[in-house]
Amino acid sequence: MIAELNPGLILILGALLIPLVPQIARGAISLALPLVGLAQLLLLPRGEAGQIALFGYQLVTLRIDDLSFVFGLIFLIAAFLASIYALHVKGWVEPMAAQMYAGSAIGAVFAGDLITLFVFWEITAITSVFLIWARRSERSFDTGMRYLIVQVGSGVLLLSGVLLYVHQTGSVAFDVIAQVTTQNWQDASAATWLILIAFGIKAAFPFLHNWLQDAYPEATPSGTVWLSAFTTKLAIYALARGFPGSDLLVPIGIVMAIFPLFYAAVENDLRRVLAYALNNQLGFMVIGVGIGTDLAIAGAAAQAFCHILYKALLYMSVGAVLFRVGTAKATELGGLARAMPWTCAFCIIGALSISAPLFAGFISKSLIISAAMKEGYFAAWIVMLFASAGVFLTTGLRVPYAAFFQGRAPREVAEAPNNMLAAMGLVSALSLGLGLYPTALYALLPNGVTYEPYTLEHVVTQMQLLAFAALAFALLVARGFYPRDEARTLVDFDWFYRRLGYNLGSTLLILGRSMINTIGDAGRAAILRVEQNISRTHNPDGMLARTWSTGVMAFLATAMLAGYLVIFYAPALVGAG
Amino acid sequence: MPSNKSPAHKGRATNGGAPKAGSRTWVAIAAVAAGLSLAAEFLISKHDSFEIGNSFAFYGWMAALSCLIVVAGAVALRSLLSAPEDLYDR
Repeated sequence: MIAELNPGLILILGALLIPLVPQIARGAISLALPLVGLAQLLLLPRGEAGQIALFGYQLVTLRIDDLSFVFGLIFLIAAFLASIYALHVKGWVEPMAAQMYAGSAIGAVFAGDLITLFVFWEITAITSVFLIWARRSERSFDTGMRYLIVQVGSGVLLLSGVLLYVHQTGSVAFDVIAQVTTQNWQDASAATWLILIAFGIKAAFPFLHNWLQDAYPEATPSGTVWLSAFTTKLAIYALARGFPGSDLLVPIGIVMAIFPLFYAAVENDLRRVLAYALNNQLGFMVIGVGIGTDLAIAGAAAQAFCHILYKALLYMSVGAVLFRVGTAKATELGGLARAMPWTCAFCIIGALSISAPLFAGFISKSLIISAAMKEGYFAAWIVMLFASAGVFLTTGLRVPYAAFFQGRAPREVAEAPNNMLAAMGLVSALSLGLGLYPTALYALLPNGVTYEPYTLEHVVTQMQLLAFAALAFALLVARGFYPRDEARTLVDFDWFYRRLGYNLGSTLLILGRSMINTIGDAGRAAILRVEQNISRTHNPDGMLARTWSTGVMAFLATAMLAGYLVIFYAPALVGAG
Repeated sequence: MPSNKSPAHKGRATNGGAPKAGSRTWVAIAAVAAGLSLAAEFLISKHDSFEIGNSFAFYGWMAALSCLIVVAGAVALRSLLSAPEDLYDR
């Protein structure tokens, strides 16, 4: 153990070794880094450490408490599992980016101040885009650029908010920033809004969510597994740390839990279906943070923990299909159960893990639903039941059915590589282990919550929910009422900037060009002269841009002060005269 | 990386249409599971804070209704917002 070293830095710094070693050693390093980070976390004492003084502020680069511990722990476990899944990846770019991405997310979770949080926040953006670009297609490059703009934009908003917040409060500590409620939201400061929106972008709040469904289906099979684990859950952690009990988050979470289901029901790309379902599950966590009681915050943390596992498992199984078949589109898949029986079994376990008894999701989601019931949030409660059934339909049933059961069995498709199967097997075992022994997770949760998920009432009602959802799905498919898979997509909110905004920009450009053409040669010459004059004074050697000597600057400052004195006193002197 | 290979198979028969033997099996399995879960309701006494949660088979009909709403909503959305997959590449 290196005292005061943030475990995330072990992954970030260790990843620098990856390009320097041969291919065979890259896998070993990728597996070792999360394990070393995990050992570091388990050996470090609770509390604050790694303090650095910067511009008069005390930065805390390492804070371990119950909330950061549970998120840091699952991030390190996820990094290890994703490393196994990605062992087949050749080259150094993707493994290095993945480790640095995971490391920065872990670093952010253990950040005790807003400046450290911002630094790691931005590193997650910059490193994760390489997991999209690693697909090495023009489409993935464009997607990566859009993703980067959004993610860096979130960082810019965060920095702006942090600067305002520090100016107002004099503190850089990353603790509760505000409780923004449905009653007091009008009084929230600009700093609060900026930070909340920055978190909201990464948490995929409604209208800020499209980066998720845009980027995740375009990354490499293993890249999407990495992406699904960290960015959005880091945002949930940040919300739980900065805005617990902000009940404005409850309606936001409600919308998040509902609307993605309609998209997930008919999207053709199964990885996009999972991205919408991920958005829906984030809604549960946002509701939990918004309710803000001990049980609800513990529920949000537990749901993040379990969701990372079962969503990774679903992305792993669909990623294995993509890896072997070359597509993840429902219209081009089907009948893979015989060719890929293990992958199929793991996909079904991932589906059951969403909310079936004996699996991870059952023991975590119940905490938030119970918290909503206990605090009288009827709308949140009923929506979470609706969303539980809906996500089981659109993800738990439709995804395995579309990939593995419907249609004819394909030819010449091999089972997933052994490393992928091993990763999926481990995640399945973890999900089952947590489902069978929930106290192992509950003991880690903040606020010392105790909860008993395995009451007969809870098991029966949950089985009823799942069985009737399955019956509805089977009947809808059998009677031909479930929408047919089509090689089409549904337009989402990003249409406004990707199509409408693009068209408006193009129109303005054409208008500008035609205006320049209209003003003729004389006008063009005048514009050129203005441009040349600006260039002359502002280019690197220009008068306003070049570096002046101290003496000249001192002379100019003196001259300006003298001029100011003349202007200030001249009227008085004239008046006296 | 094989992700850019051409798909191993394309154009499988889509779902929908007349019920097939396989579909009937799934319906039968799901119906048995649903029936058992309904029967199990007689073994429990429910204590939901919201009264509606204590009504008979609430979680069952709520799930079925939710699925119908999701599918109906998706069909409506598809009729309004359906677009080619390469919409933004054009």
